[in-house]
Amino acid sequence: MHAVIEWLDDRLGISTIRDVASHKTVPAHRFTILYYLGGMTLFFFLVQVCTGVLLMLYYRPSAEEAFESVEFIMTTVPFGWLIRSVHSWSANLMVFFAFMHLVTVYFMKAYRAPRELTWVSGVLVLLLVMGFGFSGYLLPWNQLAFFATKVGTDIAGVVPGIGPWMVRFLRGGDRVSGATLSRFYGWHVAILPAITFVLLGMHLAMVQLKGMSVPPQAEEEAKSRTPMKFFPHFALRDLTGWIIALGCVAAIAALFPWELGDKADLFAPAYENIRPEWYFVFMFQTLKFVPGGSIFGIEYEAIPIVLFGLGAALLMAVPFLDRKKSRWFTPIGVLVLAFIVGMTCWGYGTLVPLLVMAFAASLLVLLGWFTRPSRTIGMIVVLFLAMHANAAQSCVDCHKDVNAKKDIHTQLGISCHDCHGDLHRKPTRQELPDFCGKCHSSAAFMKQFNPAARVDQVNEYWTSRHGQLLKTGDGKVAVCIDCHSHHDIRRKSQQDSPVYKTHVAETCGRCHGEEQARWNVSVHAKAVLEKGDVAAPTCNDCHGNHGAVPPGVEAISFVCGRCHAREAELFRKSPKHEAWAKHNEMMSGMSCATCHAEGVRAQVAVTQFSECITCHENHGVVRPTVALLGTLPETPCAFCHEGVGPLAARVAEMPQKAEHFRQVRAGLLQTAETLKLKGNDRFDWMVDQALKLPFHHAGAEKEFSRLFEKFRIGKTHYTYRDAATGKDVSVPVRSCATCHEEADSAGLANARAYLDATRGLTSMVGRADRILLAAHRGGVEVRKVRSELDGAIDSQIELQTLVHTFSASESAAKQKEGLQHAEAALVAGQSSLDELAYRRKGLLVALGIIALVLIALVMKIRTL
Amino acid sequence: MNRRQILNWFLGTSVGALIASVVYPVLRYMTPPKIAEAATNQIEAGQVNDPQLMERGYKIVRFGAEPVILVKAADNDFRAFSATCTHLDCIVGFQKEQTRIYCNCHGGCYDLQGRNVSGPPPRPLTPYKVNVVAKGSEPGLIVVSKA
Repeated sequence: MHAVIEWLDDRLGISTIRDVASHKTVPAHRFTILYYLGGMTLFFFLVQVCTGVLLMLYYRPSAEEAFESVEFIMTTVPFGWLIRSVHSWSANLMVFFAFMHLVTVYFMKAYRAPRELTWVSGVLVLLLVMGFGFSGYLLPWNQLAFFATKVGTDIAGVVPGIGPWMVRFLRGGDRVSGATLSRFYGWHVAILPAITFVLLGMHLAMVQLKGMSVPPQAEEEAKSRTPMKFFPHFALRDLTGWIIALGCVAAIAALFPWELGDKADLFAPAYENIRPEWYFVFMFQTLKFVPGGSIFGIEYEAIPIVLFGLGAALLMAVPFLDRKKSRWFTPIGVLVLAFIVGMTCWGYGTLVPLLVMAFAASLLVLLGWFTRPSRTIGMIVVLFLAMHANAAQSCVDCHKDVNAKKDIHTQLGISCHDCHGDLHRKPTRQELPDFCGKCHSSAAFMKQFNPAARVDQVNEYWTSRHGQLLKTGDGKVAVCIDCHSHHDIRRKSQQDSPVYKTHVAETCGRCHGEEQARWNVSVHAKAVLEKGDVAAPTCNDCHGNHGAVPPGVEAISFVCGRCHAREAELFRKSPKHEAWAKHNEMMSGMSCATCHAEGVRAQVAVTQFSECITCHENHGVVRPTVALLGTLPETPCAFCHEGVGPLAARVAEMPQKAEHFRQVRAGLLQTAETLKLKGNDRFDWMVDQALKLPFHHAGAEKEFSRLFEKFRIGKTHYTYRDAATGKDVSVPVRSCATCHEEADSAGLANARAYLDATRGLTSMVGRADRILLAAHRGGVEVRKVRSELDGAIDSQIELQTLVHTFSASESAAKQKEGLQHAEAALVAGQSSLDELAYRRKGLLVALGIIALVLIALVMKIRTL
Repeated sequence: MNRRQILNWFLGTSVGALIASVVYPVLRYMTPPKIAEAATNQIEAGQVNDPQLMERGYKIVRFGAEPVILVKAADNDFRAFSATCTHLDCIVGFQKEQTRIYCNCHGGCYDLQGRNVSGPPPRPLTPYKVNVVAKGSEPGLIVVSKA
């Protein structure tokens, strides 16, 4: 061994390096720890180089293959997920430590002579590192990267003069495309590394040549203490830091693997809250404040961009500006740092209110400081007089309660007398439709404002139930102003209009309170009010608006079928539709008592069947649940806790999980027993409990609710508050068993078969979804497996639709198809979980080894 | 063994384990994963009057991911072999004049039975089965399948 070292020494001069290293010292003082930041940055840079080279083995830089190759790395290549995650995490840590290094060097004044060039090269390396971040971000070719690059490169376009050229230069064309990807790849793996190696080499060489700088605050202390030897003392400590960093990055990468996202779609809308990598957020946030427009042909946006460029140049020039050791550099640095940190916080939406208040307070203080009290009072007086000087004689001088400023008529230049004319009184309710109709029924008049405007509203109104009642002298029914208001009328497309989609129910509900209360709990109300889905139906979508009437019994499937086309089609083809039509024909003008002897009562009083609403109700249409299909089992928790159901044997679940769910179920049933809950009460209670349980899906109630809703496991009752009485009214969900007897009905048997099919598929899909969710949360890429699950969910949805055929054989076939997908998803999900367990064990072993090395290193350092 | 030696041993061993724990995943990563290919048992290699076959007397066809050489030995006598030379993985061709399958890389020669007759190839070419399926009045369709 000795001979080999000597042989190498003769050729490489190792002993010279060793001699230099052994004579090199590092000053010891209270800021010594900050010297390690540069080394830490270097460590992450080396990690980047190693993992980057490894990623190149599989990565393919083209728009067609980039995303797929990264997906291949994440899902198929052994430890590919680890290499890629380490690369991504380490990149962020590298930027973080590079910033820290810069900040500490700045405040320690280490850039001063003779280290000016060390500083300049360091700042250049930091800029290059940011360039690495920007170019590398695009390489996975996912949506986020695509938009970040689009925005990031577009910003360069506003630079005066060279902007458009720069955009083309960066993008390799006019838009972000495959050409940009190839170009960024070239920058990321060849050009930037080449420049970085040279600059970093210079930076490190200069650090060695000039040694560590002692900050002015610690000069005395450094003189009084013995310097630390670079080798082995400082080097071993550096190594300790590196190993801790290795452990940290490995743990982060294993526990939170970097997401893959969705493949870049050049024609998809951008995500909400899209923003660049965190280290660009302060610039991004600053740019948000710049208004659109231009001055002297230069866009406003160019100003901060040029200023940022100037800032970078100033940062580089700091050592030359601070030659006289000015005291101002520390406060300037603090301000710049506060700006960067503040802007970043702002960009992420944290501390925003605080910053806004601080900004408002500073503004007030500033205004208070500069504005003289006499001038302020003067301005207030002038404003007051100006407001009143304009007051002229008009209708509103007397009718002060009329505020028609925002009324669409006022805005179109139609004033009081155009409607009221010489009447000079309120029109009566009976007069109102024709009063409005003077204009709104006149095509010639309406054309002046909107050639496409309808002019048949009043005619339609007279055909409505409202209009017919009004004719009979009923003054309480709705007329134009009851829905559209008066003197404050808005366009129906305006969000504050009482007839805007989200306000229609409230408007109709002023008279039809009970119907509105029931609609409020409906699935349609949820879509309109909570999700803001303006395509979902509210009152006028089913009843019409000006010609409002309830749809007739036979017309309901056509009304509902406008949205639920497939369900309506299946239902109209089903034998039930025909049978109901016959029944309704027979029962017209009859009641049960017409045929049945007195004393015989039907289970449910039915004279005519109203298609869809017979099962789904009308206003309170709740999400269709399995509860519709007959009496529910005593232990409905089997839907979710399928570990105890008949499907348990089909695909083995992890025993401890199955046991856990068994225990949960037993606990729930016991509590239900003590609460003396029976039948449907128990089911409803179970559903409530299930939604509240914190331990489903690793503590995510939201995700569980999603799953719960998706599988249509709903309650058997729904409750709404009656507007008239103010009391809660509980309405049972209509089920097959509501009308059909338990034992002798073929329909109920059919429903039971369908229920079993739904339950079987639901519980399989539920289990697969749960397992995939667990694997995904653990960071295993499950995108491909999801497609199987999506297939199963599609079948499940189709199965739910097929209930309208009332055919057991069709639903059985669909269930079989869904089960095949669900089983495939389950098997794949199980292997994803196994992979997750393998990763966790691997991490544990690696961290154990790292801990041992750290112990050994600390012991070694102590013996030095 | 004194304390210092024990410490050095401890440090050396743990660092060795650390290196191993880094090298292992890296090596596993560098080993390309096996990707399942769809098994191909039979392909259609064109019609008997294929201009390429008529003119050059042979044609290279895809059999899954493998190249297969289809040779027209005589009228209605088609033969198929793996087109991968058994010497060093080159793709062989057919010399119509010499009626031999020939590899340009190192001059490997095979006869029309696929046997290695001269040059460096160590083994004969793997033969494939050829059937000509007649479809009414249309020219026959050549079907190559695994032997």
